[in-house]
Amino acid sequence: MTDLSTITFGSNTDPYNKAAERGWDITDASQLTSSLELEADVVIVGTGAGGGTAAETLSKAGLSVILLEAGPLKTSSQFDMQERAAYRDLYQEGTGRGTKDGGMVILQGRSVGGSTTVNWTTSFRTPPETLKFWGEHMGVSGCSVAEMEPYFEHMEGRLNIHKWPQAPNNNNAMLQRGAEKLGYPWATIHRNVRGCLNLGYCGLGCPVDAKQSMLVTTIPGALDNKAKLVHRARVVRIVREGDVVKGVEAEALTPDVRGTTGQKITVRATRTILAGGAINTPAVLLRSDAPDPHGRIGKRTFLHPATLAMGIYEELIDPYYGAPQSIYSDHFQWQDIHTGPIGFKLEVPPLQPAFAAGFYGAAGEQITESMDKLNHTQCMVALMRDGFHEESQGGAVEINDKGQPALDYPINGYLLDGVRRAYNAMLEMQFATGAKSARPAHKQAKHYTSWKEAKAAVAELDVAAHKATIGSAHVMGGCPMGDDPKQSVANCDGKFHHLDNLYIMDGSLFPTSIGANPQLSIYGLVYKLSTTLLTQFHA
Amino acid sequence: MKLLRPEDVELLRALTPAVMKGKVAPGDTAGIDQTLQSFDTLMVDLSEPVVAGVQQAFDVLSFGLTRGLTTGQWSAWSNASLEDAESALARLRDSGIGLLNAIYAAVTRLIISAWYLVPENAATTGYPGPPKKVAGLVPAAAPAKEATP
Repeated sequence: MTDLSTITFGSNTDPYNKAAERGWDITDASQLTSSLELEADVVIVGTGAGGGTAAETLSKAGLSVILLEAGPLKTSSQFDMQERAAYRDLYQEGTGRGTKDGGMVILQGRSVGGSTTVNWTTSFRTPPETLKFWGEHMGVSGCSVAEMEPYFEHMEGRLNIHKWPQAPNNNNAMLQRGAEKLGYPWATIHRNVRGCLNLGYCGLGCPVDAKQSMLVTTIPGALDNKAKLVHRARVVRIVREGDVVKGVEAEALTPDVRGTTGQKITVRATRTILAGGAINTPAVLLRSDAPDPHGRIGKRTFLHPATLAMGIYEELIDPYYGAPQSIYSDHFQWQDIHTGPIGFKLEVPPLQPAFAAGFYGAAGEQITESMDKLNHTQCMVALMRDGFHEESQGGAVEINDKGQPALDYPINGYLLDGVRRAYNAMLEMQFATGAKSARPAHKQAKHYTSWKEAKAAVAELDVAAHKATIGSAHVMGGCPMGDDPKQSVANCDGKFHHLDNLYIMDGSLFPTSIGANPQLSIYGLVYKLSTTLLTQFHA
Repeated sequence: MKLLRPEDVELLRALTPAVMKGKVAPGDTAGIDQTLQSFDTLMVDLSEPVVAGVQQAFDVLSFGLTRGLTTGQWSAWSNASLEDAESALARLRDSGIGLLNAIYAAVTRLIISAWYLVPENAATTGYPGPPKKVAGLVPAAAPAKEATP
């Protein structure tokens, strides 16, 4: 690609610059000087894929809606494509979130729009294999391919989801070429963009609002419908009277969202919807001592544990520029869905330098010499489909004595077998496409100069937790939906089994991982659940 | 320093030239200082539980007995040579104890991130940097033609 640092463009696309003239009701809780008490038909905790979708659906039908978001409101006027500010302002724990023992890094959004503000726009419907598995093995009803179809179709229209029509960047093109060389199927990714400039900075906040995230679609839609948005407000617990939920209590956070100001926010609502994502939603339930007779809250939390391989090429790759993800291959994904070794999806990540530097696990010249050739580096990522096999039970969300959540996700042999197979798959594709050298994301690995050498080395590597670099950008499950309260937390309408007027509408409802980037799975499911919830108000 | 404690600074002064070999030499005080400042800012940007975890890792590496047992560095970090620091890192990396591997991963990742988060350092990768955004202008680069969904 051309050197994008030489181009300039404007920033007049920010819808929040017209908040006052559009009559939007937005409160920054960090500025409150007294406690705040609010009432609404519906309070929604979280403004990501689930909260945003529910807010627009319910407010459009005339319900009064209050959205609470722990993160700050950051909009395109502030998105400058610099890594440090983006990681500080837009991610959970400043990208420092990880599993309890540090075995995996977890990237999750934390600002208005949630992870949709920082995701890479990759949009897949929930794969038919996954929906079928849920119906046959996880006690899920009403979510067949045919039953989900209209909801996906609606959200695809709303968010302009379409097959990426431009040529892939070199990073993605190498995945396509590798698949072609080795006879693997591949396909072009669908993206939720409108007027995309093909810059490559989706992960740092879209600077031109081309990404159709919740920040620029459903949340403005809800605000136009008189919804109220309170940001920098962290929900501590649900409020209940007996078995009936009456709303939530929140605390105001400081402007940097790292501390509390001491002010309280209480929202009383006819219906309460939790949509804080698959770590924060179970954490709210745990902090609230919500009934959990079968010990299911926070259990079976899934991550699509991902590992990587980096190849260095003669030609320029410029892996930090251009649509981050446009090609994928499911060649290794769906064999023996719940009886065989773990399957994985092959994609590529964008390589902005500080982000990419974290992949290698190397130190010294191993890292600095690799990074010197970042502009010639191609990176593959394998996302493992956890939660289908009996040896893949995921992790458990817990809270500490301060109420802060942690995810305990043991990395077992079943998963590590997938890591080793993924190293081989990715390295073989890189050498097949002419990589001069390539290395897997493992702390004791190095750059190998042929597929033969790499294959022999991978066979000898100690593929263990903490030695293999494993990370996640997709947190799912922990409050699974299902018809049987013994195995699930919510019913298939998203209603919490053990309390009234409490709903869950986010990726925590998934009984397994999705087997594909999850945003459209959340949009479609939550559009269905929120449409169903409306019928209760009209009854 | 806002969050780095004096013993953390001593540790990081020893480890930075080993982790960033080829970029930061042991005598490069300016380079080390810049990395430490960036590291301190990075700590402020993390969350309280993450900072607590990093400080626990630093404690293991700084406290005399555990420092010696885990890294082989029996005298203070201020006495460590580049080779000592490299050997300490290799011991943590190659240990059969998962906790030490985790400490290696966390400390090296943070040092490396701190270094590459400085824009002029990021430029050494061949990264020309992001496009320039000019407030108030209409987009100058034309949106690419898109197919209808």
